[in-house]
Amino acid sequence: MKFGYLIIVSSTDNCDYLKMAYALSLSIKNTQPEQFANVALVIDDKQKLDALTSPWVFDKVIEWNKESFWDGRSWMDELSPWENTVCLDADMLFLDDISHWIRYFLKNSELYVANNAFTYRQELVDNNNYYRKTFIKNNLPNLYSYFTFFKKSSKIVNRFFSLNRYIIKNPDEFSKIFLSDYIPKVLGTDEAFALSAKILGIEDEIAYNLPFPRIVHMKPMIQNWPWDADKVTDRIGFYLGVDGQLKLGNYEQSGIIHYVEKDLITTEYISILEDILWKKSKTSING
Amino acid sequence: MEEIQDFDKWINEQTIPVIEYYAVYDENSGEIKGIYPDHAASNEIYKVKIENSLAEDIFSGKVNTFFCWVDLEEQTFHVGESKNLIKIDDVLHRIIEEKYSSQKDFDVYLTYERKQKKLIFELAEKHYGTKQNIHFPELKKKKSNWNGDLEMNFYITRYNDPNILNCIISIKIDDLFKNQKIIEEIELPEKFSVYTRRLLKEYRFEEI
Repeated sequence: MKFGYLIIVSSTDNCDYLKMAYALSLSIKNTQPEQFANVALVIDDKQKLDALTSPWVFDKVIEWNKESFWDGRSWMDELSPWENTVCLDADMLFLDDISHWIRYFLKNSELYVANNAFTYRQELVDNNNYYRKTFIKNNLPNLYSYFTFFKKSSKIVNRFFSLNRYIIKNPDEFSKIFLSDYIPKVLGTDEAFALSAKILGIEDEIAYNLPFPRIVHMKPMIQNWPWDADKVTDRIGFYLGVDGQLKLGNYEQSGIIHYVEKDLITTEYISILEDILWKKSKTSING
Repeated sequence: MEEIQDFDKWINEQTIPVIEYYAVYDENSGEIKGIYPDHAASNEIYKVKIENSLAEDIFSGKVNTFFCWVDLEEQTFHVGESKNLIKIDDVLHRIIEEKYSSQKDFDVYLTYERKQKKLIFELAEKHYGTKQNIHFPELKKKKSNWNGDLEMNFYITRYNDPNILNCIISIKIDDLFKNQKIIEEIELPEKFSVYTRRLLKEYRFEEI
């Protein structure tokens, strides 16, 4: 298979990541053309999919439990069944056809990591923000691992993820040496990606300025509000309509949304996304 | 000569009084008049004890007593809305279908009969309305706390989007005592939502 998305979910007691991945996969199937709508899921136990109404939205399911929580994402290059992959965070939704972005990456990139984010009002998020102190103080490239394109056969990809795995396994050592100006409480995937890119000196190759991917990031302290907030939905409503269109407050959203709040996807929203897909499948069968 | 008390002994013997909080309410309507510590409410007859954490939330503005009431039958304090008034959803409550709700015991029922183009509003039997709860048919009836002229406003909007208003339906709560309120010849989109300011706690919507 030439291209597909990859979602790696982790089992925790607090969050239903499989439900989020299911919603994401439904939204991909609903919005993307068929050749750009392949989705692979990495999960510790395949049987968990029995709880889903339409588990077939995952074209490939890979059972894997070698790493816990998000450490598994540093294995994305080895886990992906696709020749070309975009690895996504589970707590995202696709709202439009973004296949033209993918066409660009297929033609021009071996590895590309998202390096900006947008507010729900489509303002570019300032890199020097509340959540990015580690990046600013240590002069790291501003990477967001939530959208990572890579070619499986690329040498640069192999080097990048090999180093990334080593960083994830040895966070204290790398923090002390490379992040001494501001040591993060947890060395997360974004920090590990940025550190790998900096150490390999490939920041400009994998994170140059593009008008896409355009991802709305729903972390509350980057919304350019004059007040603090614990959650975006404390301040504005989250309205998923029957056509899969999404409004935050009274702002219609487009592109991809990274909704962050793990309990936002209700059974009703899943049902909306399933209805859209079933109607689409019926139309394509009859049409 | 004045006896000087041993300070260490005195401080050890002191106990910090535990303050309890009471909601003072109107005996006829159950409306909340105020929240008071026990010593300030000692002369009040119509009062119910509330949790200290709830009292703190009321004092800090997290819970607005405008959305609270006392159930006169059960002598219990109820919170209708517990958020600050920041976004539309803090004022308007979206009435969801029972299949998406974790509740089984509702106060107000809305039913849309699409073929007949009828929108039916009913109050639960426990409030002297017409709708029997099939899950709890033996629920005890509650004394009404409400002024019968009180209007319930229902906003019919685009599905899950209170920004796009289709129409507003106003009903006096009196109209629902022992009666259904039926809106005839109302043609609604294939999917729509109903929002309301929450006067009672649980609302249910169903389309048939």
